[in-house]
Amino acid sequence: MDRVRNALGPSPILPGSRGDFSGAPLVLSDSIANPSVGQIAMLNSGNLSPGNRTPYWIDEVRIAAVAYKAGATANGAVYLGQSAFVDVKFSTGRYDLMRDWVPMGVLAPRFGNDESWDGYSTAPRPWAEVRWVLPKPLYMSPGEVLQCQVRNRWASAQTYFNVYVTYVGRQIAQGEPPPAVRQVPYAATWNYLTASKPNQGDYVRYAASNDQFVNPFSTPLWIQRFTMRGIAYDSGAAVNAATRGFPFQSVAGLGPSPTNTFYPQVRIADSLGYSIVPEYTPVNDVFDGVRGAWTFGRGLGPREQINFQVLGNLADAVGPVYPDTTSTPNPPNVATTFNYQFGLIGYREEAV
Amino acid sequence: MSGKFWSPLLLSGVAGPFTTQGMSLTVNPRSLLNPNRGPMLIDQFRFSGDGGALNTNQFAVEIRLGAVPLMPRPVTLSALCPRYLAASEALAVWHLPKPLFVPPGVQLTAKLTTPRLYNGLSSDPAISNVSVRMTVAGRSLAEDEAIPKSIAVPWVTETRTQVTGTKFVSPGVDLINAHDVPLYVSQFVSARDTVLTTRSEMTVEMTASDGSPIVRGQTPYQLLFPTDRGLLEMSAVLQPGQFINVILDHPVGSSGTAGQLDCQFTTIGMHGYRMVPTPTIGG
Repeated sequence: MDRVRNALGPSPILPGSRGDFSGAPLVLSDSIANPSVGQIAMLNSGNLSPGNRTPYWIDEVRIAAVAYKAGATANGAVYLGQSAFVDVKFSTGRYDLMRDWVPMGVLAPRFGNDESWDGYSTAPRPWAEVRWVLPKPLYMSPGEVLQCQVRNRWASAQTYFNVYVTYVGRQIAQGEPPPAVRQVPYAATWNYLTASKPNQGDYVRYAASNDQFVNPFSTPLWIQRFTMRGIAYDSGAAVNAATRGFPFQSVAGLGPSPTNTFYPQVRIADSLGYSIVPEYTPVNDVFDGVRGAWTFGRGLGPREQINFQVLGNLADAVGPVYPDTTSTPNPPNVATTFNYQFGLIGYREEAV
Repeated sequence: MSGKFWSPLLLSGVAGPFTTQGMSLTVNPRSLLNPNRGPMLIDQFRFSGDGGALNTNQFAVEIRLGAVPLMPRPVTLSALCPRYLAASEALAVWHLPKPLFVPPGVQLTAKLTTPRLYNGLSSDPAISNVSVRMTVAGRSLAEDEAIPKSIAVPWVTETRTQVTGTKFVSPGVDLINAHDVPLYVSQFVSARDTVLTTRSEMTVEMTASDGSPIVRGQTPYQLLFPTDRGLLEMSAVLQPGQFINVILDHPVGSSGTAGQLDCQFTTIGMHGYRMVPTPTIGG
């Protein structure tokens, strides 16, 4: 084979310029059709591995949840902001990228108009997409596959969407030595759900993370960033809204304003006692309002953890409204249920 | 992953509510004190409206590190923070030209004010019960981090005016290096507010105190300070006593009343840093 390559000479097209396909792009993709409510499905590993037994890098994971029906049905079919309710779990078989389910929406900062939704109209189909650029490229040994599980967490009426998962990376030439260590991405999440209407006597709602943001490994964990998404919806009586969810609001929209007196505040410290955000601070002052992300850039020792405390002031609250002008009741409804999803993105080093 | 220890740190405090022009309120100093034992580095100051949108033209801030000032007098937030959100100033961020080293125990203080924008030619826009939240974004350092002998302290000065008549020349004392050490200038930040119904093009000219041109001729304001950023980056050194002149030329427009056409608030902030001896507790 080497004699053939040498006879052909350097390739002007392929990177590496030795005709050895080193660095050639690689795109692997599979999908889940219409996961039913509560369903857990595993993507086809055969579609998510290169056909040849060569090592490769994975640089990005892209996830898209796309509705395949537009418009409303009388029985309250749901066309959601899917990134709020589609959870994923990745594993190489030997190494897990997350301990538990992680909503797709917290894997990456928002990069613009990455989500649209349709509550109850004949608008185009709703969709959500996430582009998770891994903190470090993930080395995959020959024949190894990054397995993916998908879960539809929405607990109410039927949903109508497909989930597409794509890996974007590069092939590595056969015979090229593997790296000394593998930098394995890690993602974790903490969901903070308030379920009470603001005017039902609960004036202050307080919650704290437990061990969601612990470093479970015996090696250091490097935290690249924290992400945050907030979703507000009405789980009240109106049949049109009862099964409806809404896309993540921009974090900037979750801040205090004359029309939003219920806003989450966070206080953050680590398990060694270091204060990171010493006093309760509105989330839009902690996270970038547009990207919903906070570049953290700090190491966490084995078994150490970051502790989040969230305070939601419900007194005299007027919650964020969700944009709905087509269903009843009109005008726009005041949200009564709030789900704040915090995500930790990082990586640790493992042997190849 | 090896190297010195540091951990992100966000300190936050509120001043308010502000209800009218001419008010001056201090952010609770306790909110701006590093609760961890070591020193800290400050990378950003962030400002947002607590309970309402923040008009960065209506508020000014004066910050001190111990006895060391970061500005000679309150600087308008719109001269401090470049715009990066197209629609509204939900969050105004001042990225420091160099991280500010804060030794353990040295107090950071901040005073927010609501200066008048217009000098009687027009009414100032109303301030309706707005509090301002200031967030200090930086990093905690290890307790055994060495304290440097001198630190880079940001410095911001501002020339602020409403343009009346046809031309404005900034007073020499506005954009001056009043220190006895060199001032490293990194950028200019500008914003303007107007009650004009129609307006003609405003032009800008900048010269150094020794006569050297910086912005030569009459450059349209929007080309120098683009609408989406309001930022002019540069790298210059002002020696002690040197200053920069700004000339704004704004001819009277072709329609409307003369008073209203000329009534415009414009601010230009000069950003930089100088080296000072590291402050100590009580210093």
